[in-house]
Amino acid sequence: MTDTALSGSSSGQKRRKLGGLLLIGPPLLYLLVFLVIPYGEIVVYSFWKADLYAIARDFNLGNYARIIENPLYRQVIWNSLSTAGLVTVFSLLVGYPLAFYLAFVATRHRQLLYFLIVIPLLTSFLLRAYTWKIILGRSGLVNSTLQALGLTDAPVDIFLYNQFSVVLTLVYIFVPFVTLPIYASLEKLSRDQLEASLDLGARPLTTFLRIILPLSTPGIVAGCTFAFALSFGDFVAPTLLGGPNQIMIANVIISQFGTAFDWPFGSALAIVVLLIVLGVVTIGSRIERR
Amino acid sequence: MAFQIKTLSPRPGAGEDLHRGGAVRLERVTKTFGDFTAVDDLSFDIEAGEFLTLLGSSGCGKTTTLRMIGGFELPDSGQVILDGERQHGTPPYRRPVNTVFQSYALFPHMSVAANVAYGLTLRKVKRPEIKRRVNAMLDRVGLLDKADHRPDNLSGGQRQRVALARALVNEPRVLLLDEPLGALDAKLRREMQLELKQIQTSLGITFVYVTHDQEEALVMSDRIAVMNSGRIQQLGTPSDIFEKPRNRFVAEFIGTENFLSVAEGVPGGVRLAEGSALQVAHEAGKVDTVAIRPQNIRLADPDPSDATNTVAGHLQDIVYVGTSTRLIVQLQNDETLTADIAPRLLAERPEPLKVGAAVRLELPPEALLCFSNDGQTT
Repeated sequence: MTDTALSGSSSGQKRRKLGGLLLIGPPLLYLLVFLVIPYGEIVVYSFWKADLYAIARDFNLGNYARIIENPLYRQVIWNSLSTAGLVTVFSLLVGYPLAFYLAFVATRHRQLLYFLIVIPLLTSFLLRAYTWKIILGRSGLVNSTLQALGLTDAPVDIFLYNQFSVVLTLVYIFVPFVTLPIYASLEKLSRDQLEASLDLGARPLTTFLRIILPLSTPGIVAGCTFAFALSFGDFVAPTLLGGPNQIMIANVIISQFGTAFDWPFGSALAIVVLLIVLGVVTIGSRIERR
Repeated sequence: MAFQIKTLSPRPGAGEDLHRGGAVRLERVTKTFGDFTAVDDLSFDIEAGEFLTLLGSSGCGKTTTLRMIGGFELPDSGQVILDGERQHGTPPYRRPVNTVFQSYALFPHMSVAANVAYGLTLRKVKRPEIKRRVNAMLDRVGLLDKADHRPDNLSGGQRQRVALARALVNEPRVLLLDEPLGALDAKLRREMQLELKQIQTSLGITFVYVTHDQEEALVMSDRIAVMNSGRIQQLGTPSDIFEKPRNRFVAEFIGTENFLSVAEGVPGGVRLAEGSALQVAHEAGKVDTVAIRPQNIRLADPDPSDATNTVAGHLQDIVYVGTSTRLIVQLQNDETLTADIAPRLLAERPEPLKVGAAVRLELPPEALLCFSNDGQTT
């Protein structure tokens, strides 16, 4: 019995190993082709140098030095940071109450509301950004309403091509990304837990601060990470709705890979974006773990 | 037992142990949800320091009653009065009552100690005092060594104790318990029943306990209110409820299985629809149904000549249930009787009973309960 059992187990082990490889293989291959190779290429490019119409393959740190030394790029990074920060804050301010309403107040129309929040995600990002261009434009909804009410005589230009219009559009786009994870964590709270808090002497506001808010932190962190990371690297909204001062880092990167034909410098900028976003994600996961 | 609750005697110097409970009064309370009347014109008193159980099946209004005392539901009409004070509109966080929830409802982001301390921190009790009282309470429920654990890492029984400690540490006037033992296994549940009763006796806090388990109610309560369709069917001591059920519903709920229809009253007793005449101990007025518990039926001599208070029938089934053997007997009018007979008595018989055999069952007069169709005992 021992002999056959031993040989059986060793062949079984081999089979199990093969099965494991089959399971882990496809995702590994996917990661290799779509993550490791492209990012590796960008890292390598970022240490090369553009030489007129060719790329010189000699290692140098010039691209990174340019980002640090040139105040223009610092300004662009700061623009991106402040836009992403504002988008995150306002998405949270809109998304949290929405998620709260969905989880605790809306009972009869919860399905419908949920659907209404999700449905914009099914339409094109570009289309949704364009919509705001129309709403905020000279002959858009806002201006025509103001004129109809007699509040202004002529179309006002203050709504478009500034940080306001960029942030507004991005908030509109990212509110579902913030609402859904918060809703998911609020939904896990039981009525009993809230009632237990009230029962033990906590007023509703205290219950919110000490029970609801801490227990929805994972959702807040996830939602804010989405909003920050995605809006930090966005180029559609600043292109369509931003003014000359609202250039964000993604716009610069695109121009480096396009008209400027400076792939190494574009790669270096992309690496900087990657590091900043990774930093934010790390901070987020720290907060979540606590 | 790994975690024994220490409640047998109040320790010297522990002043809160002598704290007394509050009285609860419900005055004509009604609560409806849409078309459904959960609680229907309910009035009763719960005395200070009493252990009162609301017993009934799901949907009978017992939990809604508890939630109205706790302040989670507002009565449509009527009053909930705690210690002489009307509570209408008083939110839960201002009522001197605490609740142990069926789901325990512990806060998963806090340690066991923080869960227990929650109520005290809200009442601005000083820190050393909080620490002292939390530790004393955790010690009492045998969870002092788990103080820094998260609730998720505890067993069901331990979580139940944390929920209990979290409520009791606030020294409520009244403790509301909503099927707190429902999620525990049978053995742990029986242990906890006794421990809860000990805690209640030693602290003197009024307990209002909701359950659908009649045995649990009988073991723990000073008084039981049997509820059905939002009304109290009977309110009395466990022995009242068990021995003198007021109507057929209560009798059925508390485990009386045999109901026989009555044809007519005769002097000193009744004649059953199946023909036999039975003497009853406390007969008065009109009787439509007599009832008897399976445990009170005896196996009689098959010879009808010297038989009083017996009915004859055929043995339909024999079921072994451990402590007794259950005989299902079909009477002549197709009604059935279930009789629990001690296995020892069956073993003494010269020949074993077989399905289909003719048997005679004795229904002792003092064990017979009489009900009339208008729902009242006679």
